[in-house]
Amino acid sequence: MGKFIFSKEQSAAYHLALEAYLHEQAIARDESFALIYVNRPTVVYGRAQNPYREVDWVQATERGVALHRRISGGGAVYHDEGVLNYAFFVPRRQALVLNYAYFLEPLRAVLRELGLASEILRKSNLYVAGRKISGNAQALGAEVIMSHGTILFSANTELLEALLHSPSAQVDRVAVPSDIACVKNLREILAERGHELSLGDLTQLWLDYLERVGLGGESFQEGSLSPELETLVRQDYLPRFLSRAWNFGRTAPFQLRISTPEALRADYGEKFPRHWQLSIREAVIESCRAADESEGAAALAFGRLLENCPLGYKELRQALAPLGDESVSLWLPAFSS
Amino acid sequence: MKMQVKLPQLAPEMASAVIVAWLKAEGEPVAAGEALFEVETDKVVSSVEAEAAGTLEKILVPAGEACSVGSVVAEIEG
Repeated sequence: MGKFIFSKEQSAAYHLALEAYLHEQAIARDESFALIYVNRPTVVYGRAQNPYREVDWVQATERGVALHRRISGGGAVYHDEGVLNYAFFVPRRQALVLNYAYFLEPLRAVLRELGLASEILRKSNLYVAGRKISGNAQALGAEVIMSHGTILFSANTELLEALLHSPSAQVDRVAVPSDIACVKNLREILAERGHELSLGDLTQLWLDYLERVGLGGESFQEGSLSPELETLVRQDYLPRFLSRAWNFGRTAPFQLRISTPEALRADYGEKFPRHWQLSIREAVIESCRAADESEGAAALAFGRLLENCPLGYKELRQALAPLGDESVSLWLPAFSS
Repeated sequence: MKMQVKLPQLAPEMASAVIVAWLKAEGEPVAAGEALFEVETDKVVSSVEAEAAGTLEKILVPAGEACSVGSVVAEIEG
């Protein structure tokens, strides 16, 4: 008999920390767990991703969307109060490695009961009526597997599409790219077929299925986290997922090409470089050089403003402050457009 | 004695993976069974343990690079 835990927290960092704890401590060595949660607006990207490539991180920061790296693979996903997240923790069996269909079966069964057919495409994505409603990823431990995913139910798709753009041509180091797909909210699809459901309704149907039928023949009952476990997660795991070192510093070294904002070129003059090549290591700008052009004194001075500056919103604002607030506001989007 | 560290096949359909991170640096000792590096394939991240003890002498495939199953990714001096 497995346990499911419906978290009332809304912090993505906390849930990522909890997932890491449950996975790394092999809690599911003998008994399966399911964690269900909803986060405040956040973009969560994969273990091996370059967030600067996958996310419009400047816009995310300006719009109050948090950015966090998870322990599993795959691409960047958007979370908000209209996205249901789930994570299964089960004893490791070879047959379950890369077997996303196994972990998606409860959701697919609920959708069938609502009269909706679904298909799994690209191994780990669930589609309904030709649109992606769920992405999934896994982390393998020696004794356990974590398989988790999202259900896009009633998310802010305008914000999702604004922040998760196609791989940036200006970043040269690919790492693991996101699989950009045409998404649609499941609530819309259900409504088109005469089902008016809330996220709470869908969650309850999914949990009822887990209790009644289960996963792979193992049913789940509601459980809870002990206060001691919650304290341990907050003290020992949460700092990692809140840290710049984990969220950004883990990015493999890369080159970033940016352009002088059009609106500022007249002020800077014709000799000021139009394009810049930045070398980024551990999310810090190691160097900033004019790209393919000779450098004058103004160009060298600009490059020096950015050398050793962490590639972060407030850090860039501070480094570029000598240029004046208006110029800084024009420069910032250049770093993630 | 130099031992080759190869990218293992985690699942039958796996053909390649991206090295996510090296958990040891060149020159560091490694114990048999200790997690040596992490890989990602088809959205799965897995750590790979060292098969034998020794010193991690050379990393041949750096983090962020992809390689095929069976590729030699590092050498351990036993």
